[in-house]
Amino acid sequence: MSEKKETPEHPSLEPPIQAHLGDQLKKLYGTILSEPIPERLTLLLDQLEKLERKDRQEVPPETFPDGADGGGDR
Amino acid sequence: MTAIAAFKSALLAELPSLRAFAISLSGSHDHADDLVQETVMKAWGAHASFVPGTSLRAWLFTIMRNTYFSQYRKARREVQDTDGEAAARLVSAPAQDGHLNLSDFRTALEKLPDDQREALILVGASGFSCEEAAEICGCAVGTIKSRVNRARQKLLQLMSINSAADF
Repeated sequence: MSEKKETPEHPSLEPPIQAHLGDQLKKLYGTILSEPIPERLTLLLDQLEKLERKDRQEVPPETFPDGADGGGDR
Repeated sequence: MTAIAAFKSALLAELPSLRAFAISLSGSHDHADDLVQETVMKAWGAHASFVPGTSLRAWLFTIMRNTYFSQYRKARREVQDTDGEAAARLVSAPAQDGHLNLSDFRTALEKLPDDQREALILVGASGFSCEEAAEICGCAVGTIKSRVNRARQKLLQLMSINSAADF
């Protein structure tokens, strides 16, 4: 974060002003960081993990042996 | 822990940062969560291309900002174009009590051009160096520095701050 050289058309800000902007930005960002994570995002990761495990085990896609009467899901 | 579980928990740990970056970029919680979701899905699909030992956060932020700039920015712009009026109001009545609160700051931040806001957030809030930010954005370090600098100038202008006495 070293900004020794400033472009001439944009002179560097007074340090207290720069610090003030930095504080505000960090405060705003910190507020968002501390919000709870929406469930849909954690559920998404659970789902991705589950799918991947299934893939890796190479479980054949839902095949039923001949003779199964397919009476509903269970 | 399996590799899958490890990657999952590393992603979980980055969700707050991803959300914060997404919200700051897009200015909207709704768009932001869609953006996080899409980023997570892309990251999951591409996780073989993540180099262990490098910054997962930087890698995720790169995916996110590329997604944002290719898909989301347009939607955001359409909303943004209607509220130049709010910006004008902000400039004319900033310091009734000499204290600028966080919502004024947020409003001003949203008025910044996307590339300037992005650079300012990466360097000023997400804790990246200018070099890392340049890598994430795919531009030169000098470009990041000048965007950050212009972003600060513009924020001051939007909030009518001329000296430290104004806040």
